[in-house]
Amino acid sequence: MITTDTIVAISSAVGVAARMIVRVSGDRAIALLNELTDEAPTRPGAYRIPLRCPKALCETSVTFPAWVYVFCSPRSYTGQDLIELHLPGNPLLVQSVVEDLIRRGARSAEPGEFTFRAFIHGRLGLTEAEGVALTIHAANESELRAARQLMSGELARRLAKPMDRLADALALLEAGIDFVEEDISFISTQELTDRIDQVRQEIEQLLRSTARIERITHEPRFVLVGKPNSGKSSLLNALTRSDRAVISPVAGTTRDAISAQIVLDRGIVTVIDVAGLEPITHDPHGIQTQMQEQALRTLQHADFVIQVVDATDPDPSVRLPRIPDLRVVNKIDLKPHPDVQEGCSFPTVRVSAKTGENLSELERIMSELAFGRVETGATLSLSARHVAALEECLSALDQANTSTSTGATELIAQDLRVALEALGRILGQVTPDDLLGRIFSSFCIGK
Amino acid sequence: MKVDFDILVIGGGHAGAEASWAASRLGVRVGLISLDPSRIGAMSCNPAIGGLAKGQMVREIDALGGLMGLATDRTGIQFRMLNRSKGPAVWGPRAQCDKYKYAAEVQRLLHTCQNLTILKGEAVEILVDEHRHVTGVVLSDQTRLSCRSVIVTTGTFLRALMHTGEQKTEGGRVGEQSARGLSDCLRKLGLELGRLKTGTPPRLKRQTIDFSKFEIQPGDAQPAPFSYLNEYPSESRAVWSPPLPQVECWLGTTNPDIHELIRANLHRAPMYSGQIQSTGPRYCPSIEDKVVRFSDKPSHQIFLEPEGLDTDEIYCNGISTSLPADVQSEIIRRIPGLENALVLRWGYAVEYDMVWPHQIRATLETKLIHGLFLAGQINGTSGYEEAAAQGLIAGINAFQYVTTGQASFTLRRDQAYIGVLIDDLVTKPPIEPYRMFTSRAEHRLLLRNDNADLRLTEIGYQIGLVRSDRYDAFVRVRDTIAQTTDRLKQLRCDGTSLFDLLRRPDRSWNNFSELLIRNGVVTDPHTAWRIETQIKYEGYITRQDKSIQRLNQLEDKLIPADFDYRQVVGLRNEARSKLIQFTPRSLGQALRISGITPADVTVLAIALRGK
Repeated sequence: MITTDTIVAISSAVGVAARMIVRVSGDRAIALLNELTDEAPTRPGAYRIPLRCPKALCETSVTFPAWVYVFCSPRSYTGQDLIELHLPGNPLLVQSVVEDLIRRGARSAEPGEFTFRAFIHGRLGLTEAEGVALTIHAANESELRAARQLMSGELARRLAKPMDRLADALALLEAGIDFVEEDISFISTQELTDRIDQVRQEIEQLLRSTARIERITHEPRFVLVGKPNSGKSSLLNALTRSDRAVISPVAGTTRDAISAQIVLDRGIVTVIDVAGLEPITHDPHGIQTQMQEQALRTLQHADFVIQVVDATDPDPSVRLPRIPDLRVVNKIDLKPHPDVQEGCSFPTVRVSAKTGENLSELERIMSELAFGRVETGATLSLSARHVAALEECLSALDQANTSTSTGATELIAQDLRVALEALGRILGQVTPDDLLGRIFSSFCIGK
Repeated sequence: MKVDFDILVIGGGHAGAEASWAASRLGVRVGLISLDPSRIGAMSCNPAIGGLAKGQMVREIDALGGLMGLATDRTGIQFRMLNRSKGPAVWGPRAQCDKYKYAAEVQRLLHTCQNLTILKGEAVEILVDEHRHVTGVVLSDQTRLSCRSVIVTTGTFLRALMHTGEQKTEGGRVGEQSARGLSDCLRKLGLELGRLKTGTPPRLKRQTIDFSKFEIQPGDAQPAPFSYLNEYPSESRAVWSPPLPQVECWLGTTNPDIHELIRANLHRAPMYSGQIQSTGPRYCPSIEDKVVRFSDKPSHQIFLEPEGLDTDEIYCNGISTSLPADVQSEIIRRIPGLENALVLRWGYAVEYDMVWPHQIRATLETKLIHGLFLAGQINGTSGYEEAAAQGLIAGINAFQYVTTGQASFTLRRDQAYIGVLIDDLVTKPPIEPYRMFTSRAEHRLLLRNDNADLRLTEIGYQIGLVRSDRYDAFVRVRDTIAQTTDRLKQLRCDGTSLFDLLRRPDRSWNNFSELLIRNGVVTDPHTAWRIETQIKYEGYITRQDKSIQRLNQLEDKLIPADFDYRQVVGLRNEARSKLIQFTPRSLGQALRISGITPADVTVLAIALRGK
């Protein structure tokens, strides 16, 4: 709701596209761009320039090309200085860039905040105001829902302990300040230092062990296999909701392995559609053979294999060098009722890529395969906002540790408060009343 | 229309006295209605002013031109700066006062207010016209007084009921009556009332105490005054010293024997027998509460504090209780040194009506009735200082209301503890009598006892409450601080400015005194200390500044009092009902209501702009 600081957000639609857009709006937008590149433009326009790769991704100073659009106040969507970074459609890269910008002083935008700024600066008319409000309302609802889910989730479980420890330490410290006349020794410097260290280790451990890091090196890969014209490409298109793979009724249309990233409810996976594994009829050194070899290699390296079969094909079996993890019976729009089911050691799902029937069930099963069942050992993934909050917490704890050496209680308390508030932004605030409650429940305060 | 008074203040406790003082000195005609004018400014409980966070508030009241600091300095008999072993941000001045002299001093100060009339009587009804504007007050003898504004500061007196064991007595203080009619009137006006409880310990006769069994607690060798008027350098005195002789306090403890006795008699304690249902404060529990909740603690502290120079009464701080007299007597007999002590007054608990403070604005005006202000315990607070702070704000706002038709004076959370106090009251209904703690103030490092004048005296001067004598002295000190700070930035020692050197925790003014004198930088020691303190905290405060600026952006966006939340498109239902209940004054205040998200505030901002 503050309209003067600089905010950042991924502003392309959720999902994976060839390009993803990061928007930055506010007084420091152009200054931040300067920190990302040596060739920062200062005048409005579109530029193709190299951006430095975020440290989280690569230690050395690598650059990658990006389109950068610079808009200067007041002639921009928000009415403020605004930059748009059009980045290669790699979610990891994009998230790292956002995290990097936050580390450099930008703030993660609230739901609808760009539009709100546009409105505040007179870039949107009054008639559009209610639309803006409704957008924010919807975003808010979904954010609250997400927050509620978060509360019962893995992150909450893992943050609860450090947060509790921190709140306790702060309560003890505050008690020592506010109830000086009580005959209680509240907390020693050594105890305090120990607690701070413990919390810091827990947070660091959390940062190290989360999916954010894992995803940088690895993203689950699915391979679609099946007889030519079983509808693998149309299935891929249906899953990505695009026309990425060229489809035609002619068998063997797919000549190269085509891959796409698909956003599932709990993460992103890569789905690869390999060229048909049809038996080779001639020319053992020809292009078909090479393609088949490549397809087999892809198959061996995949995390999961999905066998796609045609519901209308009376003889759907194809010999595979590896047992599939999932069988998808496609084209059920043409043949709604299955024949007598043959015994099968892996799950089968019947879908129609054409009508979309049962696709969500397929996505659910894929998500379960890729990320495990919900509840059990779910991989924890952190958003840029969470990472920023955890890092702020760490830096405040460092500051607190420095302050313990001079022993100024009120300064340590201030740092711990900042640290606690940072965690509070993830899981809900601890208010002074909660702190007082902690004090009163553990100490007899009475003068 | 001719009225009898511009403002009528109901109640002469610490809130009422401060409100009357402020409003009448601002130049409107004020009537102070008291059940017993000789009890105006009485210290009903502890004969002390200040303490952690509370002391800071008294300094703020003084910096704004209030009376509490002046009365305390004149009547203090032991001054102590609490927390001196920690940083100055959390020092809290506290003074033990002669309670009779304190009340007399408050009354004397009020008599110097030319526009103030003190009236003896019981207010039983507040008159309101058809537009819900206050028009007057009816007293119990049917006298009708007309006015434009009323400030209600009834403390514990609304339907007050005192408990000592099974014995119940109507009254807000021992030997005094209760205000019954006013509760009904407030309810009829549409206000929702609640009920709170507080307590007080027994008083003992000095001559019957064996003080040799207690540890002596002396005051500070060099007392610091509460009022800046007594602190600013003056030609007539070098260092301020208290006008009254200074005394000692004593410290003792309870023992397991006593705790056993209390446990055996719990069924006779009103808080445990069910005779009292209302909530008491967690931070000031009765001795029976302490024994029950902290059963493993073998002893609790008892502070013996003289209530005055010319009185035999000794206040037994730490054993507030509502147990019956015979049990109290036995408890006291078992305390070493009090074997033969004579009880002058039994401890008691008192229950009283309050008005849930979501029904007032940050100006302390009720949302329902124009010109009706509430201050002090009636808003759910506890403590003389909390009451006085509200009295001062209510007095200023009632003055604005009668002169301009609009009350608008508020302080922000980063300006004063007073701002924190009132903001907390109007955004979070109290679950117990509200007492100020330094931990409630997120800007604690800024809200120090040493800089209250720099934060507030200019504001007090703009309002008209700070007179030229104080203002001139303030400006001299402020300018000295500013100029000296500039010089410190210029002067260097080994290439580093003195300003930067002084920021280090291990350096102080004295390290550089020669260099300073050589360069003509000479200030009195206290001002030098103030400058040093300011510099020491500067780094931390700068870090806070950004968040303060952000906050203020929201504070400045006001929401009209008659704003219709039902018309706001996109507001969640939960947010809508919260906002209707609290009717926040600004977007900043709205955000502090629990359950309101930043997105809700954004939606609200859009609707406000659409207006």
